[in-house]
Amino acid sequence: MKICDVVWILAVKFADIVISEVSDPLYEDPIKLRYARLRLPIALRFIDLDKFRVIKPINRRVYDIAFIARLEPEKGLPEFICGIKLLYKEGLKPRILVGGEGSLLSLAKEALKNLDVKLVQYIPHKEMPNVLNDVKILVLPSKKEGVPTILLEALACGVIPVASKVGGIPWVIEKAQTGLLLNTPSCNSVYKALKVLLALKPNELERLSIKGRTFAEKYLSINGAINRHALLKKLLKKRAS
Amino acid sequence: MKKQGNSNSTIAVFSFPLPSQSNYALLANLVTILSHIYSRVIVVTGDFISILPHIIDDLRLANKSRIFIYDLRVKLPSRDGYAPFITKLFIYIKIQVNIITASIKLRNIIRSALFFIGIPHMLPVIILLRLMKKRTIVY
Repeated sequence: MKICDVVWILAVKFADIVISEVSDPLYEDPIKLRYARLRLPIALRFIDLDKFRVIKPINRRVYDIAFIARLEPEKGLPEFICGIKLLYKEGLKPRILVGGEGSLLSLAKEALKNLDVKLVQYIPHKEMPNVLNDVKILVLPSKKEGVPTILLEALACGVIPVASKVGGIPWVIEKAQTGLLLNTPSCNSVYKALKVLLALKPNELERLSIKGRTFAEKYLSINGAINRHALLKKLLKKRAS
Repeated sequence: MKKQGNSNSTIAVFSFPLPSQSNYALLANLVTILSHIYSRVIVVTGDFISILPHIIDDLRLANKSRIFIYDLRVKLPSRDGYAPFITKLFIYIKIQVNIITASIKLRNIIRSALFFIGIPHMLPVIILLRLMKKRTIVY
């Protein structure tokens, strides 16, 4: 056991209440699940649904595929690049957007230089709704995650996600009934999932896009988040009395 | 900060001042939610004021009059930028001292403290607040 795990266990054990990002214990951090005195599965955050909305129908968007994350190995950038190269090798020529900064920036520049890729280093958060409205498929081949904000924002904008089966991601994708899960964030799994989605007809893409937005409206509104977090206050009052 | 109002309706949110800007967007999201539940939300973190222009949009839906900042005025240097180990260590110790000082200063105002980002780094504060019989919540 690593020292950071020991410290994390102690923090969880000392806490009165531990908040989880997803309700299903199946996707919970095992340390929280095992050591928490009281676990409150309420904490899915909200997305500003007025800002993050479908501005452009999915079939009129510029980029077929996007990778928007820190350009680090744990975010699965090498696997993404490898998967994209396999698609190009097969003669498919999707338009790609890569957004982010990090230690693998120069590797990304070098590896993607002959492909139809736009590389944007820093995307201000206020620009994100417009950026996502130019994307059809978002790839998140991370090795470790909680519930990534970009995934929730993408769903709200009707983007179809392809993401690893880690953290709270499977819960989100199952509830949203859109996108594909990668069993392992590997080159081959990225390639296969993208190939499936790129072969979809426009009306099928539209259907998946609408499902993402429907999920966002059901689970990601600010009022929903306030109601979920209000339980925390009630619980604290109960424990104090 | 003077003691006023009901400490039951005041919550402190402790967030370890890590360099990534995306952490502050997450913090803004949580603070927005809590500002609709608690009459006072005290945010304890580092260098919040300088980051505020970048996340002001994320606080658009917040009840801003209920949010108070306890700025530690220090944060860890960025991973990309070079800083000698000794500087990083000094900053880390300074953050620990400042965050413990904050928890002591706020002890009469708050009954609950929520720990958000960089939780393992805040273990000493979690233990200290538990000794002060405060309710602690880990995200």
